[in-house]
Amino acid sequence: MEKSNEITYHVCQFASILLPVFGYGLSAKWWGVIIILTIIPFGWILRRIQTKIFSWITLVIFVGIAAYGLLSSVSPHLMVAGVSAALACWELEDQIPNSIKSSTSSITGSCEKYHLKILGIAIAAGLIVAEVGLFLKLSLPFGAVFLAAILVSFCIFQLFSLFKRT
Amino acid sequence: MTRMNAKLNLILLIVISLFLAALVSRNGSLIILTIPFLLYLGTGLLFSPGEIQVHASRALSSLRSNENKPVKMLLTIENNGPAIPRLQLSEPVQHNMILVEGLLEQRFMISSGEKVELHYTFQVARGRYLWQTIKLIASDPFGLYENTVNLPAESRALVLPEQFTLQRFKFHPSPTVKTTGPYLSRMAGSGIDFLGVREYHPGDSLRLLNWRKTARHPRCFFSKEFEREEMADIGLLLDARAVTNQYFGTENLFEHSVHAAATLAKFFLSSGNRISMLVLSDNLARIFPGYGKRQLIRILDQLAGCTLGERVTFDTLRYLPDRLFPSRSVIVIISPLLPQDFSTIARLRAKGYQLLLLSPNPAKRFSLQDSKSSFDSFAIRATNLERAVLLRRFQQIGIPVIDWEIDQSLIKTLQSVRSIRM
Repeated sequence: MEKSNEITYHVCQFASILLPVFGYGLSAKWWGVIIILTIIPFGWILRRIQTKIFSWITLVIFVGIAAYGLLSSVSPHLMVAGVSAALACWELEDQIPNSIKSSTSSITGSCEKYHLKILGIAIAAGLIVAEVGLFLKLSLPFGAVFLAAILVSFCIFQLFSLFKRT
Repeated sequence: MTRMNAKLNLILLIVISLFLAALVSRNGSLIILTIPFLLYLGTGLLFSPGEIQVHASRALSSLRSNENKPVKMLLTIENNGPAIPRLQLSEPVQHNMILVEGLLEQRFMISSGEKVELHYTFQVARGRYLWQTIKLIASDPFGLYENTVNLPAESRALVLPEQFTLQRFKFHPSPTVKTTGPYLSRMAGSGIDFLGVREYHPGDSLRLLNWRKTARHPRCFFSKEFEREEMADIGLLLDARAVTNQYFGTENLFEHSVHAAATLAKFFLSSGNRISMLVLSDNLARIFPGYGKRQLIRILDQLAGCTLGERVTFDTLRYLPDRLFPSRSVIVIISPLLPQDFSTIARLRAKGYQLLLLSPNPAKRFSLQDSKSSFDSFAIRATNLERAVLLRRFQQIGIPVIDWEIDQSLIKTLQSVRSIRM
């Protein structure tokens, strides 16, 4: 793994733990803080074992913690930021671990730099849109919410496909 | 064709779960939580590669190499289409392959019109190796939308068995080919070994006159005769039956036999003999008699690809073609031997072939101390006795036997053998 990737990975890992801890701590939900802190040794084991499935489980756990936090009135801003950091962390985990030994490290290195740049853009854009979205307060009936969700998803994918074609 | 992989499925599963949770709980902020995931998926879609127009080729540093010698594989990938943000190369792992340098899986990005050269170095055991395609997985930077292509890039490698250089091997067969060679023929002719004295014939060189004997017999002249040196027809018979070449843990007895065949072929050919070879496996690989380096290459090529046969038996030797093993030629049988092989080999001897048995012996590797139970020790003793009796029977019918304990090197074994004269 490249040095910049390694640093970004650790920063994201730290943020993905710290932000939900803050969120649960500020709401005085200490059991939540304890659950999140128990993930730290789990993450450490994950790094040693280097098994893909553990990193996937960690992501699902973080999403679950954030979703539960949102349902139990923990700060949504911190939860969304925590999930974004967990997503970035999960994506960076999926790198060739011994690429440094490769004879073509310069080629692999440029690929990793590009990957990091695109990931940064995607996560930052997602975080900004989500944080802005949190300020919108709309009261819609169930059916309208369902349709809106499908419409928004469809529009997003159509938009990206349009960008790609052009 | 773009396919959904596990990574994409996980993200979609999270997004759908959050949507459903938001609908059930009627909490809009849960939908907001899906936005980073949706943008992540969207970015992947945006940067996913379109049509892939990649050409690939591979080249080996040597198409014929010796066992355990590093071979370098060079892969060239040229992109004639649009840029691909992530291209993953997956090379197949060959049997018994040891990677010395580089990686078999590499990820890189390739821009339009760019040519990328990748390489790795490996070592492999004896055998024939074939690479047919290069597997490339083109995807977006996150590896969400993958497109797998198998580009044709064929390459073959032949890894020859190791041949040792044999310095001294006291083996003197009766020559069979009337051409100058290394073995004394017990017949008068041009040579350097003194054979006898005969009466002078007109046309004899004056240098050949035996002046001492001529002085004793007035009015008579005598000439010296020298022993003619001729070459032999030597046939190598390699036993590749699975039943005799059992595996002992990771040890393969057949590999020892192959090394012995390669070493003997090199030795006999460098001595100036005519060599042929028969590998007794399912497909009966045959090399007809020939001389020199080209014949050695033919033999080594055949040995490189030979494998154990399940169905072949020693009875096949009843129908040996004379073209392969000419009459009265020397046949060197390299085989661990079975008791039931005696009759077939005795028949060859009766036909007039000069035989030499080189038998790799695995039994002594398992010392009696290593045996786990008394049954094992009895089994080992019985095997050793059975083998000793068999080898004795061969010696009784005039077939010299070299009992090669595979713990010892072949060179040491052959050089320590007392002179074998046929």
